[in-house]
Amino acid sequence: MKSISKEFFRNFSIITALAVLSAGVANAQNVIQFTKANLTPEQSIQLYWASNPSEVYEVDFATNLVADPNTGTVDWFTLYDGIPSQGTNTMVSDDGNYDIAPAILHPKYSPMRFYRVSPVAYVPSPTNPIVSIISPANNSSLSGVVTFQVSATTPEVMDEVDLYIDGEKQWSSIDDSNFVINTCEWPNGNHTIYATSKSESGLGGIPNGPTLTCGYGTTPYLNVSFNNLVSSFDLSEPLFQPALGQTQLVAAAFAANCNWTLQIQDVNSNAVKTVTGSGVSMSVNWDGTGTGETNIPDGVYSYYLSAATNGLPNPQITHTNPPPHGLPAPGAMEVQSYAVADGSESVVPLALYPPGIDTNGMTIFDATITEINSLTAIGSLFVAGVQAKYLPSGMASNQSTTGVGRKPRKGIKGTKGSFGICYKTYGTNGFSSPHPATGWPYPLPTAVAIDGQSRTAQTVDKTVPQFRYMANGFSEGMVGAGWFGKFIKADDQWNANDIKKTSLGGNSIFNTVNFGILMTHGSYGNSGTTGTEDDNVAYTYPWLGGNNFVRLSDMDFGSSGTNGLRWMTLIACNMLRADNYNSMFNAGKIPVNNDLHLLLGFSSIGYGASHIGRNYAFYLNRNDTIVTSFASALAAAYNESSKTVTNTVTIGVSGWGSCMSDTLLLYNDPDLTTVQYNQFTVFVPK
Amino acid sequence: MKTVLLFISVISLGFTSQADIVRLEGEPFKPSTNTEIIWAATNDLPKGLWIYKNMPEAFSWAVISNAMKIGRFTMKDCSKATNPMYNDKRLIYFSNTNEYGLSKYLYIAPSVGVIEYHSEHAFKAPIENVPTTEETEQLGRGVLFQLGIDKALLSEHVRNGYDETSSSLNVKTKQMSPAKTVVRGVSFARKIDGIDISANWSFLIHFRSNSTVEDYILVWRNLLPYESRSVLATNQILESIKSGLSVLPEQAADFTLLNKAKKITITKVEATYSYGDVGQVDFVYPYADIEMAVDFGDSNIETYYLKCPIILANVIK
Repeated sequence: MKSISKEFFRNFSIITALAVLSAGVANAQNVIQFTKANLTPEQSIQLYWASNPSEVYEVDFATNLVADPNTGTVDWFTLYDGIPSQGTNTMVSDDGNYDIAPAILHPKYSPMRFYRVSPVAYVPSPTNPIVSIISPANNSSLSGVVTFQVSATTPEVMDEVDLYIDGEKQWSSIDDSNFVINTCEWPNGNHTIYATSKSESGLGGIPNGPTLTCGYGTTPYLNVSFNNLVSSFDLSEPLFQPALGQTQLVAAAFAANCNWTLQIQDVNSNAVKTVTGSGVSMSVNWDGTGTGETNIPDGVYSYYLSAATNGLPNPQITHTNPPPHGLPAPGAMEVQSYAVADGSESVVPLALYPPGIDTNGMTIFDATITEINSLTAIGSLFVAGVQAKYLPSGMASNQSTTGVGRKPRKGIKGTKGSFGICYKTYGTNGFSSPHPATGWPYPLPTAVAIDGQSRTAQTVDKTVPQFRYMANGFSEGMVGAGWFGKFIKADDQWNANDIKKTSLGGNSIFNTVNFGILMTHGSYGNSGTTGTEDDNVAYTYPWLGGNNFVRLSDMDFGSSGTNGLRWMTLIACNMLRADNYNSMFNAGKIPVNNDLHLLLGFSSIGYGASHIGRNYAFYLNRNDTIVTSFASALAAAYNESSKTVTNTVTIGVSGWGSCMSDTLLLYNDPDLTTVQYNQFTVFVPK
Repeated sequence: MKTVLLFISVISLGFTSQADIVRLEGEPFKPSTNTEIIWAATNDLPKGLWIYKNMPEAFSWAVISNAMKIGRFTMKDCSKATNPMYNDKRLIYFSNTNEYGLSKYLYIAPSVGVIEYHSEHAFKAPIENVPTTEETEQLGRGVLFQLGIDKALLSEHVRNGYDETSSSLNVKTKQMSPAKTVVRGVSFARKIDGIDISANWSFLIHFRSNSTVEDYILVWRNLLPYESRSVLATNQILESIKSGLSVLPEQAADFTLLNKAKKITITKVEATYSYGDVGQVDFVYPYADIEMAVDFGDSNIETYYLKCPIILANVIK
């Protein structure tokens, strides 16, 4: 499929079409090009493009269009991928991407952002998942907390069901159906809702398995309006760390002049700080202290805001710096020249049009950015909501709400810990490689017999697209529970050197986080002399693609301190196979030091399944033990797809005796006296 | 693997109902017109089968009471689930600590037909009297009885071996001790209309020392007979295969060779029900699992598996 792309860029708060880097027409279909871009009152960038049904898109961004002097090309970064076409016009909003690590920040934090969109190549399933929004109904007027019910069905394995509000992806629903939305966290007015789903034909990593296919579904747009006395209720940070001098800005707008009270509450709903005020908006910069500036523990806090109209006239809008979500940015009152083309809703600063653009057919006028916002549908409603002299008809004169749960905000002070993930999906077609070699210089190099095969066989590594969903699902679940995603490295974003121990010249990057996950193909040295290297050790090997592997013992897991690695999970076949682990242990070659609490991994052939990551994070944050969480996540995923799992699947867990019952919140220091190796059967085939 | 979605409407009644979507997962398969297809299966199929609708309220209060008793919970242990796994407005949640001071919990989700119990494993607890495989199966059946499961609805294919073994690694001698079994598990699958469902298990339970229940999960929906359908005759199943309405489920075989098949002999046909995921499927449907011997004409005969519609229907792709 030929890639077609066009670019948009953002300059502080306004976007416009700039240039076309490459363009083409595929099979007489629509030329993929941006047709519109909106700046929302929250300074998100809504991108619209002419699209083709059944296509799936990737949206990239660049911070500038200056070619990298080393590569001669512009550095584009993936913002979102796997966006199913919504027909001949598709829309998505750039609100940053906090599902990946490090996160891509919201565009309001960037002085400039350029965009391009291109179709993604995939093998389509014969049928797509059927997705629909069951409730609320189209044109509903909504207030307070609303559950959006989505129905998604597929004969395949369902990977994702997502709900979007104005093009912004919301938190996943654990049941893929019910999405709980607090409408007070958005500006009042009209909003566009849609849902998408993705399915796959089976599990990844199946030896000699068939090609995996994908299906995508999307709903038509649902138009609803949010009508609340308290609107745009928002936090400035997903989580904040007062120890680093960070503060949390809590802000909201009201539909009329109100007396308001903000209570910051702990997990037991006890108020730790109370602030009151009046006006048409509020903002409180919380430094993480309790009443009387007392120290209070890190953890999850909620923000309870109640407001009642007071009958007073509305004052002028005031600004804070930096602006909270939903409030106009600094400079909003500055007058600039703007242009709008006939028939277009995109208002663009005149100065941003490149030289040579014919502006004769455009309407050119001077205005402030606030006035510009008022010209757009969402902007006008937002501004009207703030500036209304009288309470809109039918709206209650008081309202209370607890927030803020809109993605990616979680109201957490401090972090519970950090995690990092490295994975390989092995491209579109996978690859084959010769076995690891041993015996250089003497005896002469010989291939190690692995996976029950002969020395001369090739190992075949099938593509495993599920790893990506597993990584993202795990990340979302952990971030949602207050964990900090330090890194998620996919495919060519990492190499053997990143995971090798420092004594081998590696970076040992897993030792920089509390919880690590490595997802690759894996092999084991056979029993007997043909499966050992020249040191008589039968190793296990993660495969990194393209005839590249590391020995398990090339890594060294575990580090001390607050950010030290305590728990490591190896999602790769046979990594902790009992015979091999025994062989490596006897030779002092296990990749575990005194700081690692637990090492978990497959001790048999294992399989990639999209829901494993999400479920693993869910069980972990339900405070099940880490051992139980891993076993439960696999057992649940494989029972869903039992036909495709043909072997008994076992996992191995190695760790200090005192740590075997560790949970994320309750764990013991290594006792350094007893090490256990336990093996669990998580699936027995038919 | 590709998957087809078959829409089935009843010829005899002439209407299409809510239940008329049958899902068959696999690679679409249409044999070459040069391939001879022979029916040699000798087993009988039922004359008719039901399509079932998933209903709420899967568990009686007596069952809930027994679940509490198994986990040694009282009403004082009941609280609101703060992080519910199951989307069930009637979710019941109990939590407490076990004899080792570790957590235990019980979720009962009657609307989606799930009971989940877990008592955290004490890794330092003495290992004694772990039930044998045979005892584990009997103990599992006993718990199923207490949970109100009719043993007539259980598949004969019990899956043993959901076990946990433990070894000690001696840090000084670098020796690993022989593995001891510390937990044994067993799973049971459900039958519908006397036919095994396609999911691997509907009930999975583990026991530890002294036959104490460590955990279990029961997925047992309340199924309402919704529509009865006639089962296809032998020649109709053959026609369905010839016309490309069957699929090849995932299996260790090269599908591309099938185009070269000289003769396909249907050796075995079994009816089954697809159970689906919790909360994702409104109806439960029957289909045919088919085993066939494929003759490539060079003395090479391979076994392949097919899924095929089994109820009388007009199939539209």
